[in-house]
Amino acid sequence: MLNENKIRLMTKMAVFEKREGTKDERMDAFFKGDYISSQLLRSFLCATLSFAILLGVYCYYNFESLMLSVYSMDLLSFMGQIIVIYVIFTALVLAVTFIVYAKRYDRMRKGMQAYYRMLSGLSASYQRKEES
Amino acid sequence: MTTLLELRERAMAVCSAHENVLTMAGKFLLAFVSLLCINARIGFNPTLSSPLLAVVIALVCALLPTALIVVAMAFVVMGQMYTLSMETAIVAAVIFLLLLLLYFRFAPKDAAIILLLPICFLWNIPYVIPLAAGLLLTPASVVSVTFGLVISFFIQFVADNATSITGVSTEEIAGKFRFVADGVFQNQTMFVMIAAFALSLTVVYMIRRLVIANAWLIASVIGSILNLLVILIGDMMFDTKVSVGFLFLGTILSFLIAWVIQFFAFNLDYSRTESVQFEDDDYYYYVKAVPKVTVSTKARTVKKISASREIAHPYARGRGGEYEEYDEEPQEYADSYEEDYGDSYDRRGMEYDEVESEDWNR
Repeated sequence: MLNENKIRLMTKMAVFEKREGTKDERMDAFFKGDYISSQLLRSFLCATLSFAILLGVYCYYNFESLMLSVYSMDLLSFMGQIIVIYVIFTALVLAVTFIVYAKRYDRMRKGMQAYYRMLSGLSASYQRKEES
Repeated sequence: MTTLLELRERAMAVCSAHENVLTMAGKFLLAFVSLLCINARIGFNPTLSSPLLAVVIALVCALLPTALIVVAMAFVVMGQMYTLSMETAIVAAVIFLLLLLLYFRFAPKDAAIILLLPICFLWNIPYVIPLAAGLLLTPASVVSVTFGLVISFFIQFVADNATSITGVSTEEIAGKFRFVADGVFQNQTMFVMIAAFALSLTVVYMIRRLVIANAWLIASVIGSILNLLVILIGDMMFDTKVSVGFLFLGTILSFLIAWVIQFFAFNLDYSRTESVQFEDDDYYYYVKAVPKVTVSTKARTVKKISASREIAHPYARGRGGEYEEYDEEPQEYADSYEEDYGDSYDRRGMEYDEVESEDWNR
């Protein structure tokens, strides 16, 4: 005999698993701090790569003027300027990453809690069936 | 209005019933139209510009997520630009790489904006994008709108200056590269557009979230006006040579499209049809979960307008005082009433009242 309530619950759970489940479960395997740290690391790599591309473009764009002034310019202060810009750029990207992924983690926790409630409801229905 | 609402309900029902097919068809169309636009503007490579290849690429794109369609289009754009000059391809590669590294990591779902903006530019209705993004997405979409605008202006610049790009002397190192980069990133019109779109999108988003009546409509109106004003002010300040006639026409068209979008998207149930499989101890279940759609059925009210007087039918007695049209003449009906019930039609109820009042008096 089909238990419609159980099917409804299981369907809701299956839909959740299909839509958010895999992604959320992967997220849920981490503590919040660990998850955000891993994302910050990825963002750091992306920011560094992006900065390298932008720096390359800048150097290529100003190739001739840079070549002409390379012997006369203060290389240390030039490098210092680049490093300061790099730090500001990376800090900005990391700040955005922190905000975005902290929010996503909190949202995921809410979704997973609802999922666990459904899971305990399902297990209760099994227990009732065994008892009867 | 009721017909429009019913149409919306029906459209939603059809969409949820055939969601998979419609999504794939939508992606195919989006990719195909994007490819046609790219080939029409910068079709420098005859092989890449072939319509048959466009169909094949669009068919493959129909199976890919939207973010990957952008990647496929990026490769096509770079291929076309490489045929023109390597420097142009390098600028394109830099723009797309920055887009992938800095933005798509956070919001790959906004990818459709990048594809739609160049198409809308070709049809002179780019102003619909900030309105639609403000109504449906979040202010974070400003980034994808900005990238979309940069790509659109880049494609436009290369299309308009193809002969100049190939004619630039290669003696100077990075001469072509500088020419292309200057053409794109020193374009005042592009920056005015970015400012207008960013402001319009943010304001539309803020207004549509307010708890006021017709917030979506007000947001679209104010967003359109703001967009128009910023572009006109930018035109006066930087002499961007915007065609005012086309600007007004485009804004009106964009507003109308935004109105259609808000009509279909407002209060839309975003849950979709899902086919899921699971099992328990006794069964395997193959369930198709379809989101409930409230189909508004017409509340039909039949109103009879005739000269005959409205009188109580004998059968109406005891039916909560229901009245209905009765075709007999009032006198005939009063006679039949007397025959049926033994008392006068005009005195009906009176005796009851009298008896009741008498009872009370006792």
